Amino acid sequence: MDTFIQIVISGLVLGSMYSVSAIGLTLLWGALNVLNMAHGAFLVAGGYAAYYFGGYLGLPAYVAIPGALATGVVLGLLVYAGVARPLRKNANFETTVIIATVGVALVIENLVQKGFGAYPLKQPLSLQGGFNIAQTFVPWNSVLVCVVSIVLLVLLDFVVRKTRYGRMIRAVAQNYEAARLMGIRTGAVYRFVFAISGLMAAISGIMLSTATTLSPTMGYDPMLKAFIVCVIAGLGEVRGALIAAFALGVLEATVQFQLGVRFALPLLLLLVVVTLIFRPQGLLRKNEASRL
Amino acid sequence: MTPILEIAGLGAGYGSVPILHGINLSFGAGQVCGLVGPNGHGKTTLLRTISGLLPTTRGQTTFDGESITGLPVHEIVGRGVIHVPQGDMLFGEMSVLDNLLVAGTRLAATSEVEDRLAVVFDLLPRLKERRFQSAFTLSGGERRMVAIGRGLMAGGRLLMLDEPSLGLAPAVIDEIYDVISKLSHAGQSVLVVEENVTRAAEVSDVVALMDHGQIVQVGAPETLLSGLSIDATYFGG
Repeated sequence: MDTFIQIVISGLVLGSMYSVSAIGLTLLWGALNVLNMAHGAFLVAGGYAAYYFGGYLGLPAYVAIPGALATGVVLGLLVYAGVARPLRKNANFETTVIIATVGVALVIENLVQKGFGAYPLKQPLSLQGGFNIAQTFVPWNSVLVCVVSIVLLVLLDFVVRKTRYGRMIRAVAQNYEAARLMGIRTGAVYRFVFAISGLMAAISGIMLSTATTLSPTMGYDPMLKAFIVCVIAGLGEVRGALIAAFALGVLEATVQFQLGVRFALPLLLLLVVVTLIFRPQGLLRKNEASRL
Repeated sequence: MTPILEIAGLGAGYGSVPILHGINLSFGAGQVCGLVGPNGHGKTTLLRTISGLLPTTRGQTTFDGESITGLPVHEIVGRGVIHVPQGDMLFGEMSVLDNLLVAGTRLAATSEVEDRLAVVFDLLPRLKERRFQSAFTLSGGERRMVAIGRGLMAGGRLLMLDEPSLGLAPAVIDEIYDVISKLSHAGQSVLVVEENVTRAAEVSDVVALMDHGQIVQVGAPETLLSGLSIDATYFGG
């Protein structure tokens, strides 16, 4: 029983982190056909910004965290203005933007390394303490991470499905030209989605760094996991990504526990391969053509 | 009558290939103008240029007395020039209602949205029945109605319909043209692109014949229909 609870709890924590990071990625793809390879670097920037404001400048959490979130939003907007927007008219937009964002990732990572060094740092903004369920210690920080993720994702799903802005995003995703002809300012929609994606990455980066440590390369693993979640759920699926993230989190924790840590990643990758062979549109998607 | 749309010497094309060679066209507010001509002679290109999707290379487009040449698409839409594109281009994964609401995005007040919706549902009652259905599950005729409904939701003072009869069964085309003539009776200005000259003539106050990127003849439908130039344009006679 204890083992079971431990597995479930660590699975949920993993799942929450994957989900927030996957949502940022999947939203950009679903809405704008942009596969942002700098997403992992956005996570790094968010985590380090929180460290900088909270640890280095010693600002209180209620200033440091919004500061880090703003950093994510600004980065998202900069990548839109500096990379996506100039490339948008390009015929091979979808592929050129992948390569360009790899470049952005390298720049961000190296700037972080130059500024903060390559050694792992401890994130000062984490909740201390915890409580016990059936002799299993549950840190408050993990509870917070779970709650924040679920609230965020439910909120985002609501925005995309029910609000005026969400309708505009879906319209641009499903038919760019028709959206323009309905008077939608597509540039504003692009900016909004990039900002949200940057925000999600920053949140994910802060959460991740409170659970582990900060390092300039800490974005790779969550970005890989976010890709896995997206492939399995179907790229562009907001709700699907949420379900897949939690399912994969619990699966990963179970495999780590029962078979050993080294089997977790190969198993996830195997799942990706199997999904791509038998259901390339993703497990949770109705049809191949579906967008947001 | 003041012209709702006035096009003078308009030129446009794709890349370096010119398609429109100095288009002149004008018609009055509340009129239906039929734009006819064979395939590939620039009718769709003309609509795309008016709505701002394609840049104007020369000439001028004036809507209700004000130049809209070179404005961004959303501003042209904001003035009330709505282009209902060929092949409908619906947001397939969205419900009929969401399709209409997207088109009403520019309206600020909720009451305005509801008033506009009521008008659309009144004119196109089938859409009201189907409002919660996904757009991709609709029949061709219903899809066309959503496209027209979207144009009305967007606040089209001038509705530009690109081949509203395309790909529909004759009985369904009758229904669509019924809608167009109802719109016309209600005082709506319409520019309708049509390959079928007889269809266009039924609803139009003015018919313009397009050939090789130019308007070669403009007139009342009766005079144009009885003239020879249509046969010459279509059959090269």
